[in-house]
Amino acid sequence: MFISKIAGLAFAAGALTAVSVQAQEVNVYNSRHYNTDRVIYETFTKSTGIKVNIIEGNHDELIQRLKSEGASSPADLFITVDAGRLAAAAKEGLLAPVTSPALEAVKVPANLRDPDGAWWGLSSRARIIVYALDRVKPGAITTYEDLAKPEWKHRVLTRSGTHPYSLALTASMIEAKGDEATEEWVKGLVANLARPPQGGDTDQIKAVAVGEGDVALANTYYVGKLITSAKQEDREVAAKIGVVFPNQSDRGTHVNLSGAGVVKTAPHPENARKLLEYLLSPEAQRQFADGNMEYPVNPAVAPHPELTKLGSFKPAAVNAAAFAAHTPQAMRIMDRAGWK
Amino acid sequence: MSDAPSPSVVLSNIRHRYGRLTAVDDVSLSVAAREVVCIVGPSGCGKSTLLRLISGLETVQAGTIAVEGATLATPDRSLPPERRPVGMMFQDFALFPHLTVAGNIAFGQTDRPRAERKRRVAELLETMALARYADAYPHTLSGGQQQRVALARAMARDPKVLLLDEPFSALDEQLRRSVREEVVRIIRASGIATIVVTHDPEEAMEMGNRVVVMEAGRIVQADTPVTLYHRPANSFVARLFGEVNRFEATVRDGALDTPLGRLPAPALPSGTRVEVACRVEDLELTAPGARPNAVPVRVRHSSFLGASTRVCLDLPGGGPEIHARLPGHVDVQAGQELAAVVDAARVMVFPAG
Amino acid sequence: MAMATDATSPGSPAVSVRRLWSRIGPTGLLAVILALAIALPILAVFVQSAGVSTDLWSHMARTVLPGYIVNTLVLLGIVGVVTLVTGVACAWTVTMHDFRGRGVLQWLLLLPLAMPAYVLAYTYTDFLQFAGPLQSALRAAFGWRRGDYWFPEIHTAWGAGLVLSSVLYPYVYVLTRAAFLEQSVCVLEAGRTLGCTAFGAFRRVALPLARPALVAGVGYALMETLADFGAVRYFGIDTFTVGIYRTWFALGDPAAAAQLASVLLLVVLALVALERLSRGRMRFHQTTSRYRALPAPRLSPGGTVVAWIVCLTPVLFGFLLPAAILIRMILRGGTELTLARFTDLTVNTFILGAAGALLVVGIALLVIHGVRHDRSGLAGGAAKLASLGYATPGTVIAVGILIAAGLMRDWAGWPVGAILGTTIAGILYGYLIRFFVVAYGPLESGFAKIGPNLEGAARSLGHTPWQVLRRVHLPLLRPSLLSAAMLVFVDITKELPATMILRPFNVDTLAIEAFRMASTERLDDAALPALVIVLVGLLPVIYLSRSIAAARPGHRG
Repeated sequence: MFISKIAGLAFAAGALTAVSVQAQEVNVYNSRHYNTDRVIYETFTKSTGIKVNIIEGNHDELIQRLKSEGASSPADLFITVDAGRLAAAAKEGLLAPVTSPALEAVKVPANLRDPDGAWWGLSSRARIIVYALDRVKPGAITTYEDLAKPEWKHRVLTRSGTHPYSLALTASMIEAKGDEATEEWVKGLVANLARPPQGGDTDQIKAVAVGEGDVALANTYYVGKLITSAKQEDREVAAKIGVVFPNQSDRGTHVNLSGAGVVKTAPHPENARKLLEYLLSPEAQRQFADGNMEYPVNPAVAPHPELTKLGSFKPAAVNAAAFAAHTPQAMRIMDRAGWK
Repeated sequence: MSDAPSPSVVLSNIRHRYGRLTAVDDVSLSVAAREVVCIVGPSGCGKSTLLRLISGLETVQAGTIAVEGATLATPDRSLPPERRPVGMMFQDFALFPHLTVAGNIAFGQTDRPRAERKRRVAELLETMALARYADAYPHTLSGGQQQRVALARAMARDPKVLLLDEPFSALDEQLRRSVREEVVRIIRASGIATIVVTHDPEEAMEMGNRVVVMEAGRIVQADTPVTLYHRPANSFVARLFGEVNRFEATVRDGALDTPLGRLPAPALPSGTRVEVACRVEDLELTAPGARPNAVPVRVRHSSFLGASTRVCLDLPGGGPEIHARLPGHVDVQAGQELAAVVDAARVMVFPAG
Repeated sequence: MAMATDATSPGSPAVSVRRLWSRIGPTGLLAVILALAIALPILAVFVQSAGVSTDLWSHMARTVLPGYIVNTLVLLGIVGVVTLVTGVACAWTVTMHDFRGRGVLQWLLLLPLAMPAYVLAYTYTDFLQFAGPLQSALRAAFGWRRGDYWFPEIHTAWGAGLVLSSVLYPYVYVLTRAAFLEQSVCVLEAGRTLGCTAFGAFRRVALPLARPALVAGVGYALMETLADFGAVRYFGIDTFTVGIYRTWFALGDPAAAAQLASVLLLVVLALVALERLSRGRMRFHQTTSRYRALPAPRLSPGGTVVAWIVCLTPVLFGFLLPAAILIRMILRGGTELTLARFTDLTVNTFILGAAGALLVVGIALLVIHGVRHDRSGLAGGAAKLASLGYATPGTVIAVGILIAAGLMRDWAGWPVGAILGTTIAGILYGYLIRFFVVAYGPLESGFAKIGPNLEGAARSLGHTPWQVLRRVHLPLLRPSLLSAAMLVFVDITKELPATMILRPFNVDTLAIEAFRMASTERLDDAALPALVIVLVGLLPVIYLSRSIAAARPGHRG
């Protein structure tokens, strides 16, 4: 096995042409790192006979790789955790619009896909506010804007501002309220921090549970993971926190949209379309929902029961292209306000 | 030996610079087959550079090098060291630590058939009296043995020229003389044209048919040891081959006034400033008044050196102290008044510099 | 046979080209080409930086840039001092003293080399943060709440500096120990007869003589620190490298990011030059060829305890403690890793490490061979340029390769990009750039130990430079070659960012698996692959330790 492996790696150069000739495969550039996704690809291969080849990586690096490979790129489908990056890739002409009766039949909400089909949303996660049940009254905080109010001084927890989730939230704020109001908001938020931004979303939730701060920004995916965890200590953490879907009375809760688009130079466009259709099918969408605690884009599929228990909510309109366009400005505002 | 040995190695107008430093400056030299030429000079005089140029370890910048009529190097084209018929022995021997004695000697003979290689190695081991060390590693050998391995290795390819760079400096004093005689015997027996570089004039005189004196990148004199000793080209060469007494003087009316008396100098015009030198062993000491042209001197002190006695003398009226070397044991006392005399033919006169 | 002296005038271009050729030669030219090929993607970054970036610089200068600079300098300062003191103290303790357990400590001290900095970073930040197990246990035990007690904050430059130092000090330790072992006891004894105490001889003789090793060791540690992104990110410390990432990806300005990267590289170049200058005319090789076994005085029981404390502290923080935390994580969470995937990851890691080590050491050997034969100085300069890769973040190298590949496609029409997807050529190229100097360093010092006349002797015995390399240098360099290969192997098993972006389809390594898990905040699941990276790296590390002891002059007898 060892020898065959070496042969496979070292002499894969010989397979160079084979990649484009052999039809029964699809090459995916993927910035989603979830093990549960692998089940989806395996099932797809079983039912269609199309092998799924994957490279995972940071979406910006993958875009760079796509660009440098140009027409000779082996990539067929580009999947990201952030639709904003897909919109940016589409703007650079890296993606080809694709549609089909099967895709249209899914009835993906209009703001969760590109109108031409250059990219399609797959699943979403809501950016929610987590609070300590024992220290924060329900209803004391209802909007993202509230996080900047003086009453939350030294009580707010968040991860780094450089993280795509934080950037996307700030970008959505710019889209909704403009530059100046957003800068005021970030300044207020930073002034309220209980400690410098650090760790991931799970770390924020755990920190709320143990009293390092009282409210935190986090992702529904991580809340769901804690609630359904096999570990006693994780479920104890989940029991100590409450969640708020912010801005329900106005623009709605910000969501991070994961999506996919077919690469313009795809050597296997047909297979890419088939995989995309499969990813939007109820079967795969259920895996996103139940396996990975995400909100499916397919209206026919319900979220995980534990997520449903957190409450139904009004998502904010996703304008991926606008968010992508605002990202540099969001970073500058956060730099000025000191959201590290 | 042929009557007129044709030159085996010919260096023409070699010049070599390291950055701004001129290491070799317009050197021309030829060495005949069966000749051993010693290059002697202080460190940094360019003698080792010359060897590296001949062996090809340095690239020639100006001038040409030829061996037996074939050009080895010009500034534009230079044979790499491995294609030159040159054997070189290094100051530190540079034996390969990972190879046995036999392996070291066989190293250069890769292009020979196996049997011939073995034969040649055995032959050299025999010549060098190293047969029992064939399978030993170099670091287990004594300095003298390592020396012979290095020589055998350099000779194994039957080079047309043998270059020896400070061959005995790694050996201690006692070993040096015996090894030197042995090496000279082997080299002369082989008949290979040989160039030896050394900083030891005695070694050069002992080994060389001819001795080449270098100073600051230039050849000052190339001659037989006898000529070099008796007719040095300048005061540097004179001093190199033995202790001398030196004085400055000016020619007046065809003669020189020196502390050792008035010496004839008919060929030089009046007013010429010169350096006068005489070897310490050419100074004779007599009783005062015994010889007419002797000058009075007073003994400062004397040292007995076994084969000779070195006497340090004061001249009347101050001036520089002078030295004499007398054969055997000579009993003189400090403060003793004597007379010193030198044979005018033995006095060396150089332009003042 | 005799060479024709043609009529070309001395000053003509043909002659000067021929002169240059005679100074470089084929080996030197090959070295120049290889070294430039290694430097190419880094140069591509410079080319990229030529783009005009808007008002970004003034924005950065007003906001984040001072922070990047201060954080980077503070981090470098901490890592420099801590690795220096730790590495030298441990090397001196185990080299110059004899005590029970010395042999064990000698290789224990190397173990942190197998520990990836980013793994250490997330184990420590997770373990020591407010919500982490340690502080939670303390609060539970004493009934404390937030603000009731003081606990050192791990998310600081100090935390990051100490954690980085605890995996980087082995570079100083390894090189310093080797330097101490090479020192002749005679010089030390000369120091003693001139009135130095044992410590005085250490401070005034042994330490100055070991200076090139110290500088090289600390230099490696600092370059790794500069290139690090994975570890500092967990500490929330914005260094220059973090700044490059932010500028590139969040601010969306590749040109400005490339300019930042260029500044970083220029600073590294300046530091290298400064060190060369400050060395000046000092020489460090031994003036005596007489060696005697170092007399290691037997320590008293009290001294032994002190020696153990000195040497075990860095091992504790750099290896034992994090390994224990990893094991605790593994025991806590059932992993989803199947045996088949686990085997696949381990085999991939091993193959990439072995292939990379072979390639990097092979190329480094060719380059150094050329540098030694080149009289024009070109090859040496190119090799310096190629060494920059070690201070360059893996992502910058990877993206540099992608840019260079893109340029080749645009200019020459070569489908270079496609090769990345299907072969491991791209990733090996990345390793070559990143770890060139890791192999070049040991080989350079290995060559330095071989008498210069050996080469001359072999040449005059009819061997071409290539034959000399094969028949003289390779056998003599074997220990250096193996050490270099082992170091590169360990570094590759830990490497993440370049592997991530340059690998072909479906090739995952242990480091990538650990990253996938950690990035989706499943640290417990990341622990197993992380621990296996350490285990894969352990064997070479132990081998290294043995080879260092064996390399002492006269040791092989």
